[in-house]
Amino acid sequence: MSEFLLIFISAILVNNFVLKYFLGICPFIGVSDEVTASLNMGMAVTFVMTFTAPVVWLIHTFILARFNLPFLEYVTDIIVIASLVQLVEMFIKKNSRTLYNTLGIYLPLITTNCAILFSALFLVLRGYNLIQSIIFGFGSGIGFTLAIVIMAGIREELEFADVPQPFKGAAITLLVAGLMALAFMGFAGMPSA
Amino acid sequence: MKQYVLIKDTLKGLWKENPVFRQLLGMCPTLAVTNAAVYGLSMGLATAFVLLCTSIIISIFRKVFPYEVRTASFVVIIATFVTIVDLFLKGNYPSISKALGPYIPLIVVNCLILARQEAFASRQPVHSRCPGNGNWFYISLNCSWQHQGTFRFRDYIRVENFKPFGKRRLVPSVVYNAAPCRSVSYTRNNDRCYQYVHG
Repeated sequence: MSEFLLIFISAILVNNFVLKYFLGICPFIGVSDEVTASLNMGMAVTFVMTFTAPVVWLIHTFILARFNLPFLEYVTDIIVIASLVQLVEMFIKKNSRTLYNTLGIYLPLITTNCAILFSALFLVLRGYNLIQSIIFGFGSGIGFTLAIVIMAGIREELEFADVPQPFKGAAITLLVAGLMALAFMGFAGMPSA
Repeated sequence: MKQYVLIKDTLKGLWKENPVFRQLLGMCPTLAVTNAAVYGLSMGLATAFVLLCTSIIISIFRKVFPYEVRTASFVVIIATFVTIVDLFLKGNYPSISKALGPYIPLIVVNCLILARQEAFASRQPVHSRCPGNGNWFYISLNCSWQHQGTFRFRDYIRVENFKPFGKRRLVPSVVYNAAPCRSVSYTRNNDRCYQYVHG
């Protein structure tokens, strides 16, 4: 049990995908204008990541490893992610029209979120088992959500700040991201999986 | 005329539409693997190869893909070329392959490549502009990644012991590099901006 907790916490804080590994920077910078939109984005990413992990694990263990086809790994991973995103989109469209309208364009963009592919590659690299993979995928998604929501909160406040002209726009966003990365370095001392 | 268009596209990719500094695409590898100039260069070349090959293939077969599944088809083609690059690096340059680690497979989801296919290659015939596009775009990409590498490089000369092209630890120095780098090439008023950044 404690092992699962360790994987979960370290995926959220210690090895945060955005602030430790520089992954998923594009949505982190692009979709962090307001808190609600970024929360929706984070939820969608968490959902896809949680479901990608077991599917990738099953395919890797029972097809790629058994028939010795490791070179097909990237192609299968990306197909799994793309079809899962498509599935999620169709499901949400059919069942909850409001959620579909809020997420809008972010849903198809999740396919090219490098954090998801990285989590799929990482769980194979680490040799996690099925339950560990699911927990790792879920924790990574929560970590992404945490980072992007904090960023959106700061950027909402920045709207009212007097930023010097050359720093306006993306430059100040990157500076904020750097300071957040510095802050998250504080978690590096914690035990991690 | 054709030559002229090619040169114009080149300069656009290099300066006006620089993927990293102006369009903020492909930020993840830019920040993650530029802790030494040699890694930046090899990552740039790898991405450039994938970009060029997929541009040509997609441009040739652009009328074959149905509109609804075009993204998925593009991504599968990109993944194939990324596998080729990955195996090549693993076989010939194991140390670089090890240092770049999972960032090589992540070229598959580099939004820069997909954006370029979507906006350019899938709409242009291959013989007129696509090779030019891919080719010159990759030079600009390399330049920007070299640029990043050099910035870190200079910081290290100042603050740490001098080890060009050597291995060093990864510091989350986004503050250090990305923001000054970007604001230098981003704003119109370069001189003033430089003063802001460097005091």
